[in-house]
Amino acid sequence: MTDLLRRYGIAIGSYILLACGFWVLVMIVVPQVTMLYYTTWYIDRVHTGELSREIDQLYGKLDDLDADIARLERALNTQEPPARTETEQALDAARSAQADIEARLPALEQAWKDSRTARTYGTRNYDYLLGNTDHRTVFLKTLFASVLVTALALIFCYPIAFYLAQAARPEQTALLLLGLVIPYWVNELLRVFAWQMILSGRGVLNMALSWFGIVDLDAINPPPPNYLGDGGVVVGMIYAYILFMVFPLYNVIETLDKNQLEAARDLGASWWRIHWRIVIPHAKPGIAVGCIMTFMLAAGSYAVPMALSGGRSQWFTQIIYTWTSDTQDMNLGATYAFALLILCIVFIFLMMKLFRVRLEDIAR
Amino acid sequence: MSSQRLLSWITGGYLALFFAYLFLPLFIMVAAAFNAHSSPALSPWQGFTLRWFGELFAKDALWAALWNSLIVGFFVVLLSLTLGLAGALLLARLQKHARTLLYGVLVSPVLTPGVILGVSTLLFWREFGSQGGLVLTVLAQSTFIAAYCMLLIMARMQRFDPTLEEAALDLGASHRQVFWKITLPFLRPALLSGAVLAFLQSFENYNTTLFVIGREMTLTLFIGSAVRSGQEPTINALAVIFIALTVVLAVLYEVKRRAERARETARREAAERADTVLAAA
Repeated sequence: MTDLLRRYGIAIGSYILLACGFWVLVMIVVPQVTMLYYTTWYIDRVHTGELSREIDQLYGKLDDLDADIARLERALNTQEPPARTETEQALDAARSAQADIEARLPALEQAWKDSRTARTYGTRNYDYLLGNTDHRTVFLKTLFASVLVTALALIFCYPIAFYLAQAARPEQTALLLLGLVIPYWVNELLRVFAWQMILSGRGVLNMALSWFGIVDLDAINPPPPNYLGDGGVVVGMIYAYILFMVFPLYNVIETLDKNQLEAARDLGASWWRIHWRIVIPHAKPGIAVGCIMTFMLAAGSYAVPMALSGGRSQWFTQIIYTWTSDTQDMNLGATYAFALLILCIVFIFLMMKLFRVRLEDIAR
Repeated sequence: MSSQRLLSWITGGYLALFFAYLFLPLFIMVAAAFNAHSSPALSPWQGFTLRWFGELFAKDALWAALWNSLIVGFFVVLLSLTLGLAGALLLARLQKHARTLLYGVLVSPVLTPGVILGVSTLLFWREFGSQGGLVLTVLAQSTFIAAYCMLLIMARMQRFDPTLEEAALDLGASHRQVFWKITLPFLRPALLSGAVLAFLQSFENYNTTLFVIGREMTLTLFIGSAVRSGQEPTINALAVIFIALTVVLAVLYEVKRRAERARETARREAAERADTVLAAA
């Protein structure tokens, strides 16, 4: 601290400390803590509903009393003493009942208003999350799909990364890398939208299949199949995130000494052994980083399920969005988001254990 | 065929397939942008048309969303550079455990799914009455974009000689002078590339923005709502524009890179020639 102030002076030193403090606390730590806090309480909407009904009933009674009073007052004009006193008594009773209700209403209405924001503490959010079997299925589906996407991306990318890192000529490498990156500069939403056009009933895939006579594009009953849904989402995710596996792999394989590979080849090792015994162990940090990034992107993906699930299926991030926007139940939204966060943290720890990596990731 | 030839054929084929797979959707979008069919598709082909471009530019929502994206991007650049610079400077002064801890905390938003960043930011500022909006979007996006800027600045700082700062201080310069005339100018390349990266990341961000944007709209959200409906043909026209811009940028980047390589080679050759002349003398 004193080193910092000595080096940069009071003014700039303060800027550094304040900016970092703001970033760490106000932007990173406290919001996450707030989200966790939100999972511990809920708004008792049942109570609100009860109060609301009670208030409606009382207003109904007020309306009835208004009608009675009007009726009695009209009757008063045409009545003589014996009936008249009875009517006057009824009128008094009605008026005092009215005053009674009007006295009670403000407190009730305030209670109703308060109950709409009052925080009841309890485990209701977690109970809901754990008890909802549909959502549990969606959570598991998201988990398995993300693992599948990660595994397939790894398998597809490894040859590319190896070729670029070790086998290609330098000029070629630069150009090929640029070629890989260009599609990723186009917005993820747009690229995923293209897959919507490919996988839909009258889309490009079916168009190609119709050239081989496998599919009839003009069929009405039944119409040509569309490939949207869970499978479509997985395909879309692989497409969207595959590059995030290539670069970490490429970076780490590039640091492998070519001589090792040549020596192994000279000593007669098959290409399978070379990869299994030399390249892959060396590439472990890159594999770990690539898997982590791809998994996080897949598990937290919103755009791909939105575009390619075809309304047939729901994914976890979509549920979170529904809670926070349509239903406006922020507490359930926070709880579901927290579940997603735990999933990601667990995955990171697993990867780090499996591949023995430390926090030296993110070497973009 | 020898196994080497076979392997290189397979490799070449695999490479070609991979690139085709990456570029195919882009070609489809470009082609579909000119299809006169009323919903976005490649078939049935109902004639070549430029009408989707016209319709796209006529949408007021598009321009408003674009303007919002630009504003948010601008402020995200400012905030991210400010925070990232502070982070890099502080980390350089810390040792071992404190350094690892702070580094971990500052970089964690990069690893966190955007959805969670969005939800947590929304909930925190909701306590103060915010319902979402452009300011909240700037805050939420900067949380992780600042980390990218910080990493770029840290990489640049590795080549910085701290004795330059110390010498200047010894010679009587004020702290402000040292900062503005020595430290910042040295970091300028990292600050510039950080600014570009920050702007691009902010512009195309969707997951986080979705949760904190409230009733406003950025260009990416505009695209998102079109994608959700799947019925909006002007989106392909927008895609063509994006792709064209990307290709132009890529070409410019490659041209600049080759020019730099050529300059570097020319400089080296001139130096070698000078050496041989001196050696002969």
